Amino acid sequence: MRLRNSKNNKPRVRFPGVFLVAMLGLALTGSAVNAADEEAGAEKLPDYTRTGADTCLKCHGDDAKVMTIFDTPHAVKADGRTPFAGAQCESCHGPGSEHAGRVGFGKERPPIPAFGAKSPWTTERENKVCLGCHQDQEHRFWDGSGHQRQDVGCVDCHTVHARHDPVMETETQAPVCLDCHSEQRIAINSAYSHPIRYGEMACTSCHEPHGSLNPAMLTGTSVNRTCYKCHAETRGPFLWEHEPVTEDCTLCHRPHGSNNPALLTRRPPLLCQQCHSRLSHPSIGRTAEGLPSGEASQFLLSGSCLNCHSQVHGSNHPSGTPLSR
Amino acid sequence: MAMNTNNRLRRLHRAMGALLCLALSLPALGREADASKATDEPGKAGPDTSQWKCASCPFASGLSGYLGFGLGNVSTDFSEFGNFGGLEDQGLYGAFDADLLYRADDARYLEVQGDRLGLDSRSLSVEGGRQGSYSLSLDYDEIPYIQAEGARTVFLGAGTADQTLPEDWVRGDTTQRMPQLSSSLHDVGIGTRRKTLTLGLDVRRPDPWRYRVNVQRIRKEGSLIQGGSFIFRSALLAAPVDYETTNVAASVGYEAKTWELAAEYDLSVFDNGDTALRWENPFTPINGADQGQIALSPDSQSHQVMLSGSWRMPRWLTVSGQVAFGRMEQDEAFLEPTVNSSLTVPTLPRFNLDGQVNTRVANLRVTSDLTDRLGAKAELKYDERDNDTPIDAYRQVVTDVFVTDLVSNRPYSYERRIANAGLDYRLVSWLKVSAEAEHEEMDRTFLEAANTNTDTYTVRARSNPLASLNLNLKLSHSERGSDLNPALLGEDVNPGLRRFYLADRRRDMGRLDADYALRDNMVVGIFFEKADDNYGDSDVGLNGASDRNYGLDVSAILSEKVNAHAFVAKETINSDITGADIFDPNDLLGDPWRAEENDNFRTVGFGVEFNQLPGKWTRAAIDFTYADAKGDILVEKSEETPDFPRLLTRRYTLQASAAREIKEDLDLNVRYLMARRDRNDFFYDGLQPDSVPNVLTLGNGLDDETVHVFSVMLRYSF
Repeated sequence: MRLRNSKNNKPRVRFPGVFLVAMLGLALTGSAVNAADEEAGAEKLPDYTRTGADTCLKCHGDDAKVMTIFDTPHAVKADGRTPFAGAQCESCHGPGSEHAGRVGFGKERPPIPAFGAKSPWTTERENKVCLGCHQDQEHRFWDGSGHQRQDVGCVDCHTVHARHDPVMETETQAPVCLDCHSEQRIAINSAYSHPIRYGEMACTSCHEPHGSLNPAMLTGTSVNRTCYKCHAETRGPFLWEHEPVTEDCTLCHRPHGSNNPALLTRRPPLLCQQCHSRLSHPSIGRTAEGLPSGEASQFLLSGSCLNCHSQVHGSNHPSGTPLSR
Repeated sequence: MAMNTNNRLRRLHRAMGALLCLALSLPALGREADASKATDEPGKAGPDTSQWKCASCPFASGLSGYLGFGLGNVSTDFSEFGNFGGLEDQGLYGAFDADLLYRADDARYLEVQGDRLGLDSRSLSVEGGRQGSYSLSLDYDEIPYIQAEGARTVFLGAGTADQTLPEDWVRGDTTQRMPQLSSSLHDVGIGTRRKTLTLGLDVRRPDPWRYRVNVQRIRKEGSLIQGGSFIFRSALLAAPVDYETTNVAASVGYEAKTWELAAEYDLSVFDNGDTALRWENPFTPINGADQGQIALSPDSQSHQVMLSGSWRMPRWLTVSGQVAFGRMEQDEAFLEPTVNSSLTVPTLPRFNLDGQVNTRVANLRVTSDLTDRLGAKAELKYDERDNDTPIDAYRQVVTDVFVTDLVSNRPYSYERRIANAGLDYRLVSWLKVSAEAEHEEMDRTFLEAANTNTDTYTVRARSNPLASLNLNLKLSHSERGSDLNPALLGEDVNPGLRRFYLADRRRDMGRLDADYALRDNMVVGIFFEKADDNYGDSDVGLNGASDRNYGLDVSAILSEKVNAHAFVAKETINSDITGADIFDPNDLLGDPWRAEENDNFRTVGFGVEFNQLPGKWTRAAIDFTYADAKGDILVEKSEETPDFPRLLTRRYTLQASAAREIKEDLDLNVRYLMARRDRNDFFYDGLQPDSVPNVLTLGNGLDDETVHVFSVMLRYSF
């Protein structure tokens, strides 16, 4: 059944007029403003070194971390796209003649322009170095993404000088993300969680950190479609649907981790009684009478409501209206 | 309600218009050209590298990596510890891993990585090809999952689709009146093993075309707990899990310098090896219901075609978007409405559901760097679930006991529309502020609220007033309204009920985080987050919820060879729910009660890494994590009631490892892992199969345990 506007039977999809005006304004203003900016003149960069990596390795050749670059895809000369098929170290770090050159007595060595301890380039500028090669399908939604707007740098997550970049490996990815997303450390260490703390799942199993047009930077076009990749048994469609299930799994589940089995937001029966208050047993507030010994509440213990209503994601049984079959 | 919605929309439009007018006029108010911006990027006017020999560069060539093999020992059975990790059984296990890389001079490569190869949580990854041209990949991993430990059942064939009672079984009205119960119990393992195999092909020729295909097969086998009931009597069963999901993603893309376009097709096929679970009723049958049958998840398919892309004008405008059309289908043959032979089986209106849900998604984002200081973003999102499943009336047989009314199915549909606009402005070099407004409309079918609308306003500030200090602040306010009509709640439902995801809601959220470099080698981070939901119009249901979350972490480079980190984090989640005991259909307001559910989480940890130790010890690490979660449930009624016991899970994990060089290409790796879990959960503690009179449980209690794992591995490097 397609949702229709009751008046004229046309689908109700509205495009705020102010949005269209805003887009026109952006197009006109941006063009004029940036033309003026580009006239302001470019910064003068230092020169490149005379011999490229051979210059850099005179000082950095003993640094094991620097040398691991040669174990990585960035140092494959036969692939003409890679830094070492071109300006070598300076492809990414910027022209290094000042950094590698003679330093006057008592003066501090100028830093390398990018990706160094005291490099002057901004995060945005450093990101452009990476995007100069990596502006591809995996990164096409970077502009305007949550990470881009929060000035997250590529190297805040990626370790380029490493045989295995920790953020690219399932087992070692989560600690990198948790450096900023500290609040998720609690969730993944909760009593019930996805197997992230065991290194069996990575954050990128569900999220796309390079940007996505989907909610919460998910890999699927909605929460549910993301969950269905691994939990297709809940997809249906079912004959008898449980409507919040079809809309959003997170109405009942806390995917990062929870104190409750099945990563539920709350324990039944209270979980269910947020939405169900009907004559007889669904409405009754269950108490601790009978606990811990004696006749325990039959609607409380073990799975509570789910002891009977076990088809909570929906049922395809002809008699499955109460989700018990 | 519709009038209020329109007024709010008009106010939002005016606010968005004012924000945008301000933004568009800011450049005219006089801004300084940022003299520090650079337009000359490396490579544009690049160096002459023809004489750059790279003589000192040790390019990888040939085979390198390591193979590891050894033994480990688990001190005791501990299912929680083995959960996902594969170390649940006491005894010896083989420890194998591998990390191999072959590179040829012509950019061909082969990479093999294997972890925990001797355990049920093994993973293997193989990738090869020619870098920049094509790659083939194969990934395999297993995830074990244990749902219940110490479970016991009376059913024969537990874990299969047909579960029967012992021949000498005597049925009873309650579990205490089943004389054969104790003697019939036997252990049953309840859990699953998930095996995922993924094959991938990625071709980048001819440039700039790119072709990708991924085929993934997920096999999940085992059993999970499912309740099978007859009116108010239920038996918990080990239901079979025999799932196979095949996901195929195929795409073709074009990657130009300033734009990309890709078309993708996604297919998902779910196949369940079992269509139904049949079991014998262990209780005294009512109305001849001596067996029951549950419909297990039906086979289904999902298709989606998507077109997506982005286009970047130099710097000032980026447009990205995606459009996707999908369909979910399910046409598995219906089971019989009942297996109770003493009832007249109702006629079905159709043989299968012929279920079909069409999905449509359209997202558009426009971002613009209007000036070096001012950025803008606007988004439109559309998400529709259009359920075209036929509607029919089905005569219900309630839990195989009695025949009742005709009920029509309700194929739920929804349509979600979101408009979002935001501005980022760098006031000074060390301070950037952002403001964002979003309006969401959602229409739903068959529910008491046909429309909900939500307005959200967010402001952010990012500041680094010192080179060593970063501060982030986010404040957000959201209000949701709806056209909820209580008359549509349904028969015998409390008219004061407001389902929380449809109810009017006010949400306020704030977050502050800071990172401070105490010294060059030490960084401290703190965060504090607070969120409050208020459902002011909800007499029954969720009234309010709050979340408080804060933490501190420290990382330090103590010396050239020693790194350390430590963290502490705490979260508190509180919920208030009100309800009413309804016994009389003429008094649906009932006797009110109130409940609180409070969850407290705490996580503490520290770790130290040594990159060089005395003698031939090459590296070592120690890592400790403590996590506890407490849950308190309080229910207040007109009469006094006792408190619920506290829910508690406490987990300690200590990991230590060290590596010693035996020869130039041979290392000895030693690992020790200690884990302890304490758990109090009154829902399960002390629960025997006959503890609850009308529920035959599995008696899966949760024991506290400590486990020690010690492993020794030789790693041969080359």
